[in-house]
Amino acid sequence: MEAPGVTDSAIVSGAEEHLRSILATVPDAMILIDERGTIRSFSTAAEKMFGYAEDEVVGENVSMLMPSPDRERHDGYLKNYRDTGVRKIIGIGRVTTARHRDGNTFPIELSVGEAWLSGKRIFTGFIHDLTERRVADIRLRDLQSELAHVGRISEMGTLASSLAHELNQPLTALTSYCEGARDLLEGSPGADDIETAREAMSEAVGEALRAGQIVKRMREFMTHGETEHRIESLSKLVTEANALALVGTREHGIDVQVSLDPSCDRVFVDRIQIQQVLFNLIRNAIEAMMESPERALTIETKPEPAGFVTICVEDTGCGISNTLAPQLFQPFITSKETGMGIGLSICRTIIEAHGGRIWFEPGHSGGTIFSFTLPKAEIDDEQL
Amino acid sequence: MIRRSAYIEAEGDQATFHPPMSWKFIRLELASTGEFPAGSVGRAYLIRLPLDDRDHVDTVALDSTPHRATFRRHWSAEPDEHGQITRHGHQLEMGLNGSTRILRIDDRPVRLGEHVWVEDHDGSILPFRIASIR
Repeated sequence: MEAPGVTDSAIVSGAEEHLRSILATVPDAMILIDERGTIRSFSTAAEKMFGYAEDEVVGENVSMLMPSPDRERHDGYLKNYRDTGVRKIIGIGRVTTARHRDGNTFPIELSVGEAWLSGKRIFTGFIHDLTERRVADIRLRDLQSELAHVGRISEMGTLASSLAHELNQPLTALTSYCEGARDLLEGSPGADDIETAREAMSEAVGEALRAGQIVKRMREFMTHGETEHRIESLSKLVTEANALALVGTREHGIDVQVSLDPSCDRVFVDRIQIQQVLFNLIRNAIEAMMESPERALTIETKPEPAGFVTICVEDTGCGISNTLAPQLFQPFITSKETGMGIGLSICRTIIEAHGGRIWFEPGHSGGTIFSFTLPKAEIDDEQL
Repeated sequence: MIRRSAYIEAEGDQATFHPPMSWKFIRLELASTGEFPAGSVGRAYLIRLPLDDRDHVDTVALDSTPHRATFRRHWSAEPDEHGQITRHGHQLEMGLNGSTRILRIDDRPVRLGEHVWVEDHDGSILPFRIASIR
């Protein structure tokens, strides 16, 4: 009910004042855009997070706050929603990257809400800066990392002892059969000795095959696991893995460039495994650049070779030494003071299990380019 | 004109190479144009160039490590562009995939609030304000 003497404009003015007070105090950055993506309001926390004043960005396209490929795709996302009404982020949220005025990108958690104001649709973005997490969160992550490290060592120890136990039996039998055959054939063996030695050698072959079967079974157990292959968007996998890998690196001023070819966006993969590969390669790239004056990270996808997508992660670090290079994908090989040296070995196992390959080469600016291929998913967008 | 450059410092028996500390990230934001009378912070270049003691482009440092001179173009809803800046005489060129934009700083100092110009592929010239140097 309207109070006597209170006009519509007074109500609108009161609502705007209320909105202003929310924008000034809400702890996460809050950005209001219209359905064309034009910025209408920019909260105080957003000003601090992105380095722009509100009066500078109101009227600009919100995509200016995003790095490629979201920057050039965002208008399309909005149009797609206007045309189809299908929600891909509204009410769902996602981890992605944003670009500060200084050019640096940083990981964010984005939640989007939709509302109607005076008959016009508006979207409200709530942005949580993942680099600004509390020290306790970081410590928790470190602890989780240490636990995972200890867990992996423990699992590998268990695996090694069970492998040794399983293999010990056929190898002992194999040794006995071979020694027996050797003793029978010493001196002047009779026909029976030769026949017995032949039987012993046959048994030895059987034991050797058994040892091979144990190794094969163990490999199948290791590689098959519980993988779940689906058609996935490569740009989504890269954006999320990149955002997570950038957590805690903002102060290092990494210049990140992501260049994804939309013609090769669909791949048939296990999402978690491929994100683990991307995460490992990006973190390795960041660590390799810590002592470098140049810190540029480039992630690129290319529709090649035929039927495959190539994903490249390039850094401007110190490069790979000649002594390390030949064994880089072998387990327990590392140039780091901490780390087990199994990251790249795991990457290779995952990529080869997907039917791709992984390799590295010197970068264009003295660093290293790690590349891997994945089979393209031959499917139309309509089928998704 | 004095140009800062790399120098070598003797420390005992060791000679240490010190790279110049003059390489800067310079942000250029679109200044007032007919289309954008108030300018536009969403249309910007982030360039990396060496500056000398007088805030001019340090051509000695630039020529000694030309690969460090880079640009990034962040332009509203267009894809990010990035590439190398190369010097041809007094002219600085920002090249990408065979096409070139010319960065016109001439012999003016590179300081906050000053203006520079970028000549686009089509010959149009846009003014930019130096918004930050770090």
